[in-house]
Amino acid sequence: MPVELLAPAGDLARLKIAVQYGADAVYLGGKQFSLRARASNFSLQDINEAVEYAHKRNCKVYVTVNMIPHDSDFDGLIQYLQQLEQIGVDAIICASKAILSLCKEYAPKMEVHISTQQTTTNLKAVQYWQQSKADRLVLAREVDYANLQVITQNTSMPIEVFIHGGMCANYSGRCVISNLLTNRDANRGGCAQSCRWNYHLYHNDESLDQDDFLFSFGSKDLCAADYIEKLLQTSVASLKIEGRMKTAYYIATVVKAYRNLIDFYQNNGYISTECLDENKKLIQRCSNRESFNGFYPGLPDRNGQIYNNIVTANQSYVANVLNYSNGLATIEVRNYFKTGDKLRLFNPKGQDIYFNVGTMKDINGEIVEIANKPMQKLSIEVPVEVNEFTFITIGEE
Amino acid sequence: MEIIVVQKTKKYLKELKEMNVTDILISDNTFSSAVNFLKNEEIAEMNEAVHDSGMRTIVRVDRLYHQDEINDLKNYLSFLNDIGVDKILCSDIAVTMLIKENDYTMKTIYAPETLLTNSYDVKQLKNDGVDSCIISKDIPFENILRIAKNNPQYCYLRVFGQILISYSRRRFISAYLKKEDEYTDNYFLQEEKRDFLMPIVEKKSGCWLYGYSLESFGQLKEICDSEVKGIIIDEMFQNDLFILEIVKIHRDILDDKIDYKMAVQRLKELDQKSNYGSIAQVKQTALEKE
Repeated sequence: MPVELLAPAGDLARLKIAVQYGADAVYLGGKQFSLRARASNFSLQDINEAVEYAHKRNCKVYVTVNMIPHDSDFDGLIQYLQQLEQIGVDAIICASKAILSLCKEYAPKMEVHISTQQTTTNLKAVQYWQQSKADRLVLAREVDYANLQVITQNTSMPIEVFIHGGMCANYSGRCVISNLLTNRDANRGGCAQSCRWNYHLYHNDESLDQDDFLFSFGSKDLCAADYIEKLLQTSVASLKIEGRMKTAYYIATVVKAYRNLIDFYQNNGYISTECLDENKKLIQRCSNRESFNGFYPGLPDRNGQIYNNIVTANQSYVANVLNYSNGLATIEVRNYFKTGDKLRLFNPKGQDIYFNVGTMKDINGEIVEIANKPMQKLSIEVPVEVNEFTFITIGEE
Repeated sequence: MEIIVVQKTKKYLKELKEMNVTDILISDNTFSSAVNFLKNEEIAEMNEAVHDSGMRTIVRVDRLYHQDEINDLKNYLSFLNDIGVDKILCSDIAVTMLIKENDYTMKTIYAPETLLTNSYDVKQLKNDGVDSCIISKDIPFENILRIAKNNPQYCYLRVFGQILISYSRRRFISAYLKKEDEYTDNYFLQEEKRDFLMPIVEKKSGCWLYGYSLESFGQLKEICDSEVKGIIIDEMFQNDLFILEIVKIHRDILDDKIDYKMAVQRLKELDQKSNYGSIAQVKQTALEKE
């Protein structure tokens, strides 16, 4: 079985981007029961549209039902699962044995994938979920490559692992710092990411604060590009990208980079240094936090931590395309650029195209020299045909 | 109603038995989160002494175990079974699997801390043959009682002691101080904008952060009149004498010798430093910023 590239979809627009840029499957959250409680989550109608769109393009759709539920959270759950099944959702991702059982009983056509929230770190625990009739298991991010090899060699349970995105500092599902400090439930969709805050460290009454920065649990983000070749040498079933809250540009970039790596391996049986470097550079375009290889090489040390929670704004994505006709694209401005700047067209397939910005006009036909009004619609000349899935970015290498 | 109490020494076993304590909770270093740990030979001796006192022994085996640790875990469980330990308090479902698969006589108390927050998941565990569990302390008190009622004589409840709020495989203090070590003794974190201290423990196997010390004096009789199988007094940062005094307070409440106010007063006399919170103070959490 070819490995699956699984991408997040925060809304319908981002789902389409993930599909276009090469995801084999996407996961999304409904309005209820999901660990990312946001108003932008998918309604049933959205899920229906998502499934239709994705299935037409041979892409699967998984719905997260992954909160650690309280008794009251079960109200309406059976009906919800049945609705998801009717819509044609391929699987739910859950962190509760009770939800697994309900799904098997009332919506048996859907697969059930056990979330990383269950912090599965060994074969015996995998066996527990296999005996419980789960169809796939998402391993804890803390499992290193050596242990992953042993696990995948010794189970028939399809295993999913994270390859990219934000990392919980603690075992996912085993942290309620947010609950205590903010009353926002880390395990029911409200995590305040209190692990990224600053803390004073004491031993007895003595302060151990270092001169340059305070203690933090904050983790660097995961970027396992260096490990893709090794992961593809195991029988891992799915490689997962984290980030339902991330932008469309981030999704496009990261999905395309990992798609390229997987395809290169599948065509050649290895990943060349050039291919790896090129796609790591591609990932870098949308990064705004430091990243590392996670736990794959082993237990991370200080190099896996972020102190001072530095997030750099990434302004390389300057516009998206609304439509195209006869060499002219109507675009929507996102970040600053000006006439004469070198820009890049980033498309789902093929190489990037570079061009210098020529004449820009606003909707009234007035010439504009500087694009600095977010969401402003402009018309510009582009060297090739573009479409709604094209991103325009700053053109430097 | 079973009463489980943490201890490190044999010193007060007789007194604890006289106060109707049924089980003594002990730990080793490698396989537990505890800082009040014993060596294997001490565990065997303690187990014997507990049995001689007419009580049962529970050993805390409450970490998550990675695949390369499973053989050592198997050997440790085999040792505990051989010396006649009665129950294992565990946090990794793998431990319950290993005990079942080896037909060990030891029973399990499954305590995944944050994960058991509803009646239905508890019922599933019961159906899976897991002997008992500890309900999450992170949910409102009325939810806890409802879960216990829906699963009679199956659930334990922590009623006193430090509350675990996060568990990580990472070694945060070693990373921050750039010095690999075990940091188990009196290390605290204080969030930049808050004024209370939270104990943090780092061992080779990871880090545990504790939020506050739990007390349930005002709810104790209600808990004991409910369908809870047993209560747990588990405060690993204090010595055995302190725990003995805490058990006395609980006993006196249950025997109607003191009321809530007197219990709190006695606790204050014993410990003015810790940040105590009631089991009843946990509110229904919010899903969005409040």
